[in-house]
Amino acid sequence: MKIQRSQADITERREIEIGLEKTRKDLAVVKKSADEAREYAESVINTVREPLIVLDQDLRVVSVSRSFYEFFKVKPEETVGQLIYDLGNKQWDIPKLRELLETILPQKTTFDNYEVEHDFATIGRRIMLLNARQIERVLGKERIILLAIEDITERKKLEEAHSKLAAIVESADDAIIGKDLEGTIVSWNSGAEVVYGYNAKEVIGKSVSLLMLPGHPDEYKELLTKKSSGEYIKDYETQRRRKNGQIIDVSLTISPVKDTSGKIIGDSIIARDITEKKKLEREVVKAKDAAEAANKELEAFSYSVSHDLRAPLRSIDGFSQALLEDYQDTLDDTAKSYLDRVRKATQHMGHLIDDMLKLSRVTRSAFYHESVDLSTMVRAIFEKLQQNSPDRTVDVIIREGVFINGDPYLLQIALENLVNNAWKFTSREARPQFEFGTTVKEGKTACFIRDNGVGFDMAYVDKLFGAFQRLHTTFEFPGTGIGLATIQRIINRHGGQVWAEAEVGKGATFYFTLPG
Amino acid sequence: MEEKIILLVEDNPDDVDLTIRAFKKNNITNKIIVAKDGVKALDYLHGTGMYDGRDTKDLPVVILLDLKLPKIDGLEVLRRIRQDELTRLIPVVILTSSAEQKDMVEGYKLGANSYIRKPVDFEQFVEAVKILGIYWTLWNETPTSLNR
Repeated sequence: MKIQRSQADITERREIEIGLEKTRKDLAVVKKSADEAREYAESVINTVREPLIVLDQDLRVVSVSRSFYEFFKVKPEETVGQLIYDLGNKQWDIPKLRELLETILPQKTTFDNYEVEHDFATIGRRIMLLNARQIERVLGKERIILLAIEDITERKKLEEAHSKLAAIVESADDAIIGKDLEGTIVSWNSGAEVVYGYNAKEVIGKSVSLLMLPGHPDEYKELLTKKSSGEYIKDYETQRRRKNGQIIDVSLTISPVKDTSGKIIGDSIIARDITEKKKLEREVVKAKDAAEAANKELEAFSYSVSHDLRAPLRSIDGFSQALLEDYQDTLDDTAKSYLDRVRKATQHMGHLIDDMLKLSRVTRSAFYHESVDLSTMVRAIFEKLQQNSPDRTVDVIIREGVFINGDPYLLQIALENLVNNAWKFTSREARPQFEFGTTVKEGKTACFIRDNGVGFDMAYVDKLFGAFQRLHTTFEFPGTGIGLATIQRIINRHGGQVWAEAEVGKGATFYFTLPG
Repeated sequence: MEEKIILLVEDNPDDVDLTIRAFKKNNITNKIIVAKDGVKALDYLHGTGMYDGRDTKDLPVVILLDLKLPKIDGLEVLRRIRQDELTRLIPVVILTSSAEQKDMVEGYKLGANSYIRKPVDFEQFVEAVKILGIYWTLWNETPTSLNR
């Protein structure tokens, strides 16, 4: 019985042992597979490029991926077992992270693309995208939280830059069009819509030849074959056709568009509508042509004035003189005085014509720039006048070395007029005095010619420089009234000013400035 | 001694008369040939047209040339005078109303010997004619006059 029992015991024990052995084996298998699983999980965690962090239900760090240490510049000993918020000297105490872990996750167990922006002391301001998983472990009912962190700071920057660029392209007044190598339109901004009249939907996918003038469908192709590949075409002026058929002038800048490998995949075309500008240019050319034509006409007119108007005057004067000479015995004194008047009037008209021509010539003659010695010029003019009137005794003071940049021919005419004027209006002085010099008026150097002649009333100074305006009768002082108008035109052509100061009976001073 | 001829090229009859009068007043008694346009002036010099058969070796001592002329203008007459071997050495005085710079420049470029603008004042004109008449007919020596 005992043996039986024993036998039974042995059998039972054996069975237990076998069972135990099996259990042990099973446990080993389980342990092995658990180890394998952990190793597997850890290698996965460490292989992932994104920093990954595993937290327990108390939000303490269970483990982190290698990339986490690298990215956040923290050490394992100050990480594992710590509360996540305390990491890196409490740098991780981020309100939005608290919200995710404590409020959102308990309700949703999984949450993707949660954006957090934070300023880390060690690595600066970062924008992160968090993916969180809350995993319930059935065994022991322990929760763990997986938190994957993606640093999107750079991507965000690129996106921002890109959207800024896109906004610029979109808001530009110029048409900015992208086309591929086949000439198909691939992008079309709102500027293009304004310039060409088509909206993006109507043209994207169509050929750019849509915009060309009839007869020029391949202009881009011709243009682009002219340049070696990869070069720009800048400010190329041509014409295009709008949706409504209107022809517009455009200025094109074409540059190649490359993919990331540097291969040219198309062109960007910036087109500026220059129709208005072109129109203005054409108008300017037209106005210039008209001005030139008018100038030519004026020249032809002056030519015939100088030639044709003077010829009859010579006849009138010549034959009046012939009458006076050949018939002096038969003409009475009245007839002779009439003939004298005819001759005087004729000669005055001759002077008027001459002065008028001079006036027109100073306005239309070519303009030369050189250094002109005004002092020498003034002295020569006075000397010539003195030679012609040797009986006049005059005092002349001339400041030496007055040089000016200007047109010598025109300045000679201006100075002749000024000096002749002074000479004329001092003709009744017992002791005429003249001075040529420079002075400073309102901060500018002005030249002046002063005389002690009859002067004039400043009340009429406005009339002084008008053509054919005279402040004295021809009986008092001969003249045509063109001299000062001529002076003013010459000084104006030099960009300077001329003015006068005078007092009746005390002489006049004429000032002029010549910039440069 | 052969007569020293003055060729006056002038289309305006008043100017012709006044010029001749001015010569007379200055006792310049040279024979004056008047050509009323450029063609007649060239005909005279070349012995063609109405001057067919004229002895072309008998050259004027001076040519007084107006610029504004019918048919062929003064500057063109001057150009042809200077191009022709026979006439190129004859002194040419431009006597004109024009004081245009371009006429003056063009005239001298083409080989004018002098340029005088006719003054409106007849007395001045007489004075000018006196001086130029005496100078060109009396004082000036030319290869053509030496050949005589």
